[in-house]
Amino acid sequence: MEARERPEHLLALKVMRLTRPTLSCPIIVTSDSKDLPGNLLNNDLKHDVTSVSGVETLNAGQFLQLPQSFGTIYLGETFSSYICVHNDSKEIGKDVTVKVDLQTNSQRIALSGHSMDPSELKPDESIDHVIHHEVKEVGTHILVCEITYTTPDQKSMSYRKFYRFQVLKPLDVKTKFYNAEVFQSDEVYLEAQVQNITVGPICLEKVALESSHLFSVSALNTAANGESVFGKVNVLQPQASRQFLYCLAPQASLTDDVRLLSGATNIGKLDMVWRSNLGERGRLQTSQLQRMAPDYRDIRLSVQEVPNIVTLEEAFTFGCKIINTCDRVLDMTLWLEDGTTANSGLMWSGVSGRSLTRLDPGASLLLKLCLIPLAAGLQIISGVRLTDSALKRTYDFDDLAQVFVMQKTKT
Amino acid sequence: MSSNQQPSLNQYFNQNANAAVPGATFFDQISSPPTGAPGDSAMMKSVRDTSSHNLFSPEIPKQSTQLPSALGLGGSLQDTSTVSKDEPVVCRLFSDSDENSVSNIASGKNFFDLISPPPHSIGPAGIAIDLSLPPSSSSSLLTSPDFTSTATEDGFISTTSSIAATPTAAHDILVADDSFSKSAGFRPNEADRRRDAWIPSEKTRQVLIAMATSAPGTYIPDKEVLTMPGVCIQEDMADPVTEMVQQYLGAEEASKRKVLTMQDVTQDERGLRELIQAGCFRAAVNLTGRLLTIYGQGFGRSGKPSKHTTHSIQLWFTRIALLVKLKLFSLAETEAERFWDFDRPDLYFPFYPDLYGGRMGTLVPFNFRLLLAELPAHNAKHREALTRLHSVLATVRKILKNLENGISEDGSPAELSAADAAESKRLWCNREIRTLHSIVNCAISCKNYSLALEVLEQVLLKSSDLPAHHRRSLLSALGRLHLQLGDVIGAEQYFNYASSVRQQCAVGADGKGALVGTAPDLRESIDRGLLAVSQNAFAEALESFQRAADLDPANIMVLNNMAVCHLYLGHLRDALSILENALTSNPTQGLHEALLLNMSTLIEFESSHCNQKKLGLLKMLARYKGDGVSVGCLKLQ
Repeated sequence: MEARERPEHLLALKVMRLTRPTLSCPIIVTSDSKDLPGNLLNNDLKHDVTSVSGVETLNAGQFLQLPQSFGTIYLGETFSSYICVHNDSKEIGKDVTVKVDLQTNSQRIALSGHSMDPSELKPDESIDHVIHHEVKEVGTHILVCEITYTTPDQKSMSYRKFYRFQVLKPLDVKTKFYNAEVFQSDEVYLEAQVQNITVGPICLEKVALESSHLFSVSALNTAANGESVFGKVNVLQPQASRQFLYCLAPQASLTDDVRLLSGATNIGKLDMVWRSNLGERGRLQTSQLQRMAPDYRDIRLSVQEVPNIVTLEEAFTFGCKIINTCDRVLDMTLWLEDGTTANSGLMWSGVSGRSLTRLDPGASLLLKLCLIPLAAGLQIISGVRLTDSALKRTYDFDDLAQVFVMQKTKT
Repeated sequence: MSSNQQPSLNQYFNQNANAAVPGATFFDQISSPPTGAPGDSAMMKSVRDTSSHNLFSPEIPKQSTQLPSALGLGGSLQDTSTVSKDEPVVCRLFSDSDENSVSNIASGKNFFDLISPPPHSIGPAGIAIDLSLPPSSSSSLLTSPDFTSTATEDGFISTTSSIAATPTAAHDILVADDSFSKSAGFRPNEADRRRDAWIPSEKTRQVLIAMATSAPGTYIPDKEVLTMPGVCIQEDMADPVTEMVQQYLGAEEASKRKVLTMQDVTQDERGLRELIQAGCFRAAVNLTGRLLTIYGQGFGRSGKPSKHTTHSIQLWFTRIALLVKLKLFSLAETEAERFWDFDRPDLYFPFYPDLYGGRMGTLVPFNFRLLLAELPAHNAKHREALTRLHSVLATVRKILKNLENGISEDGSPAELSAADAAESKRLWCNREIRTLHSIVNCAISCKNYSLALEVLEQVLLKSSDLPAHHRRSLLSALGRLHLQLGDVIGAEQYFNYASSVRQQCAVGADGKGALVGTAPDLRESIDRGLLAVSQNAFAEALESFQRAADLDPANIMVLNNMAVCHLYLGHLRDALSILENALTSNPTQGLHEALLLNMSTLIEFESSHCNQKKLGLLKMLARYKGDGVSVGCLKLQ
């Protein structure tokens, strides 16, 4: 903080930032009673006001120590400050007002508008204010304190002091989306990487995805036994990051109407609360997270039925739903192609080139197709082609699902 | 001596082989460089015979590298060896001084004696003594020359109450090492063996065996394997308080300050203890420098060979410990550099078969080892400190394993009696826990909270068979650690856990747990207060600390925490007046760096004319404190 001193005034203004106190500890030096210092060092430790009775040899203190510097302040933390106007003179200051504003890059925020102050200040009296403000902008902030008063000889006096500080960014958040629209559900997965870019370790008290009304969310950050996947101690060292995973399921009303679903790009906001030294708290919310709108084109194919594991050379059924998502009535021909993906070990079994029943806009059709696995291992179902006979346009559906092909077990 | 001259490995390991060494022979054999013997004897005499040290002390500085007269030395050496047969040296000292203590309380003159608790008296050792003789009373006596006797009583009462509020009895890690003297049935050499045991590296072990198996005087170890420490500052340290008083208040005010200096005490261990007791750590460091010069380990002697004795090593331990307490970390590290890792053969008793005939183990006190292991952390070299601490821990665990396997600490085959083995196990278990504490502290200081919490959980597991109040203290410490890292939810869980343990032990103790369970006690009130601070609920925190203050009105820490809460609530005046009252009611404890720092911060904040009040604090410091205090916390401009 920078301050400009004007000592000729009756009233003195002092400002102290109130970050959380720290816990002070003694320097721990012990000896055996048979060593030269005998019990003197131990007793010195025991009677140290900062040591803790019963665990003198541990550095987990309990003695509150006032902050000794301005420290750093991060976006989302609360800026708290003690403003003290003290009458250092032998005279009475009248009509005293204290005005405290916070000037940011974009706006000026009044922090003390209330006129609860006594209008006159006798010698050695003071006006005490503790102001709080949650900082919502990064960059330079200037605390502007203005004092006005009237001297006993009716002279109107005023002065201002400026305290400048920088608000830094505490967390770096990167997000990734995965649309799972082709397989059964229309779930969206969100992976959020939260990195601590403050100078000290922090505790991420809360990282939650507050979904928009279009989705319901489930967090995937606990193990089966209910414990956090990040371990027992909830602490994030400087520069370290954590990956959070969320699954978003669209509301039932959306899945019924594909056009609504494809328009549902607002996923929600990530809400993060962290704490550092002795519970110093900060809170950040991301802006509305947007996913890439899934492009369903005119025809949508959604997988309805597929086995996880199949046996080599035994045919299996692949069920899918074809939905008309355009405004036209569709007359389509179904083609099944093999070998559209490299090393494909699956062969279609059935008629390729057959016509499907006409589909009205919004209507759907269930198809059961048959495949024969010819190679073991993980195989990808690909090669469904639908030709719109009106526009002579072919729609490709590849990479629809995966099956694992096993050797036949000998019985 | 004849048995000594037929060396065999077997004998080397047999600790009882040697009877007392006749003084003359002994003297002949160590007549080379200056030895620890004069220091030892000075120490012995000075306590029992007050007149002798006055004669002896002025001579010491002069005879820097020369031995005292052979006659005098021979006599005192014999003395030493006979004493060591029944009681170790230092404890004899202490018990002697204890006899004097009653009269000393009355006279109030020779208060030093009164503060050295008799750690070696028969009976439930350390604890009972600590309770019966709260040392703060005596410390207030000492450090405030013009304290009245009523003030002393006040100090006495407040200490007693704080001890009663949180019992720290039998398993207190600070007094844990005392209790090996508990049973009169233990022979002192068993106690020595337990305390001094250490496992040397293979290389060092080979040297020691070579020494023991060759004829006396024929084995000359390589200079490279010797520990060659030396004092690194030439100038004596001055009292910073006097200097500052001189600067701000003038020479006249400075001349009023009564503070012990090296010249005011006997030039021996007793004088050293007197200085430490008076909080004159700088003067004590100066005195260690002077005494070490007698051993040929004074200024400029680093890197030059010299002989070690238990006494010289104890002087080093005291010196480095005080330097650390004075926060002169880099000096401490430089001077201690020659010692680590304490594995040179000349730091083991068998290196000196004539001096310590047959005694096993190391000359290095365990706490010295720990102090040096921690030292790099104070200079921000946490990784090195953790490595050192873990190497200490590994050896401690090896020793514990040896004990479990029914052999002696260092792994040599020995038949320990069941009681002896149990006592040794207890001692080393405590040392293991103390080492773990150091690891936790190191982890905290580099903000590696995961490690700190993980290790502290380990300590908690090891304490499962300890009394409930001990477990409770640990749980509460775990809670505070969580607060420090910002995990308020975790902290609350541990505080709740600690409370439930408290209720359990209340039920166990007197069967009326329901009554105890309702009202929070001191520990709980403080923890609740800290939790409220972390939730930014300072009004609530103030209430909790107020409750704590009702239970223990003289508790300076609680008063300080109340003052801090007042400030955050916008009551600067209240905050200041609480601190001022705390200071005036108990200046010896209150004039603490942490409290003065808070106080100076508030004084600066309150008024533009702050120096006046700060000079008042400086005067108090000059009046009540030794030269070991830091004056930086006053932030005088």
